[in-house]
Amino acid sequence: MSSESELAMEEDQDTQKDKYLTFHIGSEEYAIEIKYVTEIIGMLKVTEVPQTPVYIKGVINLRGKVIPVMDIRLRFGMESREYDERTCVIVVHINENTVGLVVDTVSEVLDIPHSSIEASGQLSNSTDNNFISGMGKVEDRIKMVVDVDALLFRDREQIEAMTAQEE
Amino acid sequence: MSWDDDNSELLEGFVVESRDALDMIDPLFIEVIECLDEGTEVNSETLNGIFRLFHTMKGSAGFLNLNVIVSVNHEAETLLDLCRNGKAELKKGFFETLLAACDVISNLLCGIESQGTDKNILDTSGILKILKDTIAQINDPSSTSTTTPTPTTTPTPTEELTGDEFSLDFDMLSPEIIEKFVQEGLDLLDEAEGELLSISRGESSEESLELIFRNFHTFKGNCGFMSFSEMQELTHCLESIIEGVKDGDVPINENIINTMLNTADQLKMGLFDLLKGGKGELEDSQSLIDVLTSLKPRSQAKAFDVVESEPVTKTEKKLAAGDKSVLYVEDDPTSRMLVTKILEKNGFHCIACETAESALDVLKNLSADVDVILTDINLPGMSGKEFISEVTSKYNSMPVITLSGDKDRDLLKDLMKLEVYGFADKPVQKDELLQLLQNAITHGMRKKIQSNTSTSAAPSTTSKASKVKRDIRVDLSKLDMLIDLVGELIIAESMVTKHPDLEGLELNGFERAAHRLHLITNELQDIAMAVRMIPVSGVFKKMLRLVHDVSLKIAKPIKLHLEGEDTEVDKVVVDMIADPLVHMIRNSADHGIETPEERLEVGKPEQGTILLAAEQRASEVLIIIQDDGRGLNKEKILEKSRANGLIGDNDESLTDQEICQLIFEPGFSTAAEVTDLSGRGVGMDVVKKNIEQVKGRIEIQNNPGKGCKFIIHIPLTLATIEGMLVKVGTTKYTIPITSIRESLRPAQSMITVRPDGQEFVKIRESMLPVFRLHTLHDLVPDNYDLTQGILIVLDLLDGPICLFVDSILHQVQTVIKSLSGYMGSVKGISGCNILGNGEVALILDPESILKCLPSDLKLVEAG
Repeated sequence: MSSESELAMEEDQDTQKDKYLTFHIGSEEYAIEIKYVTEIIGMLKVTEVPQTPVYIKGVINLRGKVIPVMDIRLRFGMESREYDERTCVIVVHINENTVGLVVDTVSEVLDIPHSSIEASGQLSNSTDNNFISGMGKVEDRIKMVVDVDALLFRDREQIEAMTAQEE
Repeated sequence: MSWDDDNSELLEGFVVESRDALDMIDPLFIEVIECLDEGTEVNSETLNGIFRLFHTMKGSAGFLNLNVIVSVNHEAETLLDLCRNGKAELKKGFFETLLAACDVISNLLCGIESQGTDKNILDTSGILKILKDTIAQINDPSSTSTTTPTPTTTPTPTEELTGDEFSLDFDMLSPEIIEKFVQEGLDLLDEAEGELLSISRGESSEESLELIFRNFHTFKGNCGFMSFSEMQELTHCLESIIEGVKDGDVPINENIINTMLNTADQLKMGLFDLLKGGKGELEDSQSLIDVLTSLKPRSQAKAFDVVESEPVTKTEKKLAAGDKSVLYVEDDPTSRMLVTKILEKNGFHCIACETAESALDVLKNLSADVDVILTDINLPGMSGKEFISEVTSKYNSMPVITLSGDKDRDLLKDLMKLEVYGFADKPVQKDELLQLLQNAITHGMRKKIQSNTSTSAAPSTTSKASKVKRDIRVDLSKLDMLIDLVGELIIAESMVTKHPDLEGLELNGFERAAHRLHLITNELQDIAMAVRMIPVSGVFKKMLRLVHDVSLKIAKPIKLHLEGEDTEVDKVVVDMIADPLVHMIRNSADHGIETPEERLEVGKPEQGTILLAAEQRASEVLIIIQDDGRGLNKEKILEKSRANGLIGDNDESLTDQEICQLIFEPGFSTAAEVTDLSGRGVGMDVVKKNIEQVKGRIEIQNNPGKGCKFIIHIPLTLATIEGMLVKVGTTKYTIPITSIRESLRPAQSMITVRPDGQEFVKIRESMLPVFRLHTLHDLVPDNYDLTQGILIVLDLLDGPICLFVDSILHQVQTVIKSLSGYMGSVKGISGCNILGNGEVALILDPESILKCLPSDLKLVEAG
């Protein structure tokens, strides 16, 4: 690889640094690192897939690519909510996996400097807190930074072990 | 000069091509060995074929400066040359040695892939020694030893021929190699000297001239490989003079002979210098060259002066090359690719043609755009010679360079008469070739200006090189992307042509246009699918070698028959079955086929036979592995399985098929002393797993005492599926049509319910269990009443069952997509497909759907 393209990549990563996409679930606001986000789409028809965890709503056809969608509400252990025209799917790509995340609304892209993010202490052990890696303060509001890796992959081994046992 | 990243592409191409070549060589060797075994005459075409493959590989490796490979190939080639010229009696041992050489090359290729060079990967001296010994053995007894091509010596680091741009990296040249080179060089020079002296005594003869010429030529070649440019130049001059003497252009006299002897002495000094650790530099070589050049005959000066004259520095070379076009005629695809790439990299525009005919076509259109012609001499159809004479008569000022491995002097003479500008021998050094081309272009331009025959500018350059490519290698992921896009296109098409806005409108013109679009998209889809299909012959041919090796090892003569190698299967499937085939064939040979003594005892021919066949049946491909050995021993399999706890002690109800399938159980193969068993076992669970991964299954037809037949059923492609689209509630499923026996809406009278709730349907004379897809997959159906829905009778391995769904929608043929890796594997589902309206349907996996049953229900079903 030529040094030019490396530079370009570095630059690219630089411009993505500290940038977060924020979204709402209920009245709370969450933030997700922009580097994981590939696109934001409106809700598509979801095909349910049996024998998957409840928070996996099923699969959608993203321009010929079939990707699973996860309802963040269900993943956080909250009540699910009827999808409406403001419901969005944030498509994230991480560890070779592309997954759609269903959120209530998407709000904006924000700069949250590293310094103003407070690591979420071991405040509690409730499930939803498990996917939050920090609390970002922007002006007077709090944005909870979602740990995408944990969101997608934590418990997966557990779940797989469970399904294996069922067999 | 080391190969940098730019060349990795070339290397990659080389590795791939060479692997293919090796794959092609193996079966040819086996054929030869078989012929030898049977005492029949070996087809000379086969030998030539092998020779050509080695030769091509050597040439390509030479371009890429992969000198270790060159050396191994060279020795192999020499040996083969002896064989095909009838100089050596064909012996089986030769071919075993050559097979070993193939293995060494294949290992080297692996190294090249990982390290980008063939140096220091493995010690090739062993195989080289064996090869050389074999060659020496052939040569020794005969007095004509010197007439055989002397092996060119081995690995060298690479260096520009001009020598002044790059310093010779001596660390790379091992002392052994130098020693060998020197030794050989001295021998060659001594011999030449002796002949020269005999000429001076007046015993001149055609033969001694030939010998001198050959020795100088070989020495020059060696110097070239070792990158000792000074010595090479000097020897080249010597060679030219001898050439002149032979043709009678140069009168032979004391003066010339003395000069040549002096030169030979100089060369020897250089060699001794090398031996002492010097750099092989010659004193005063330039003045010698001058003297020699002055002795050179005119006509040859033109032809031969080219390579060494006036070293051009790199910058000049680049500038001068500019956008010069080379018309390159070569029938061998590997060489064509390599040379084209090298030329393009160095600023030439290369128009590659496969045959002389097509090259003439190109010339007709673009003669003004072609600056120089580079051509092979041995071409299919119109030969290089005819081509050149055609060219020189029509395009007077066009310089022509030949690039050929052919060293036939008569031919060269003829070519010289045709005013060929220069000759390059295969394998050619990159820089030598570039220099030659550059000089030829300059020469051609001069000539053009002189004769003032400026032709009118040719029209466009777009048609260039359009004819040459027959196949290309494409990254599979790109292909998948293409197929994805084609799928999308089909969806988009139906979204447009069936758009709700069009409803109720009378659009005749639109309908026609839409129909045409539909035809095109369909064709496009078919072609996109066909692109993935490759014949199984590649994998099959590999097995020839395997059987050969195994049969040697276990001392059982076995012959492998291939049938239906042309059957085309999806690339992914072909890759996946390669390993299982190795296991199964090895097992057949090892355990299935009896020892020769046993075979004779039971009245079978001594030589065992294994048949490997492929055929296409509907949407399946059958791969059949059949041996005429002892077959599976049911009793022993049962015994072994009981011992391993695979089945209960009293399990007498197993069918033959079930018993045979036991050999695929993981526990079975790991049992101790499997090889003592008459059945097979080693690695068979892996075989089954691999086959299942490509959605295939294995059927065994056992015939105790007479042999065993394995039939692997695999789907033609993993990319598409023909299925029936059904609906349960809001979920849509595609059920593979191959598993569906029939579908029906049952009448109440057909239904029976067992006390435990298991439903049965009586279809004709059989009672089939009913499974409801909505319970299996926990869905909400439109109705729960069997008589309101549809029963689909599925043919499973364990027998037919009925699957209850809401309704059948229509038949589909679509691209299979994997359910995202994130979801893991879902029981009963093998993937998904996208429907015409963009919706996703799940593809039902009939064989695994019953695994969704809660375990207690499964017991009920089994009982």
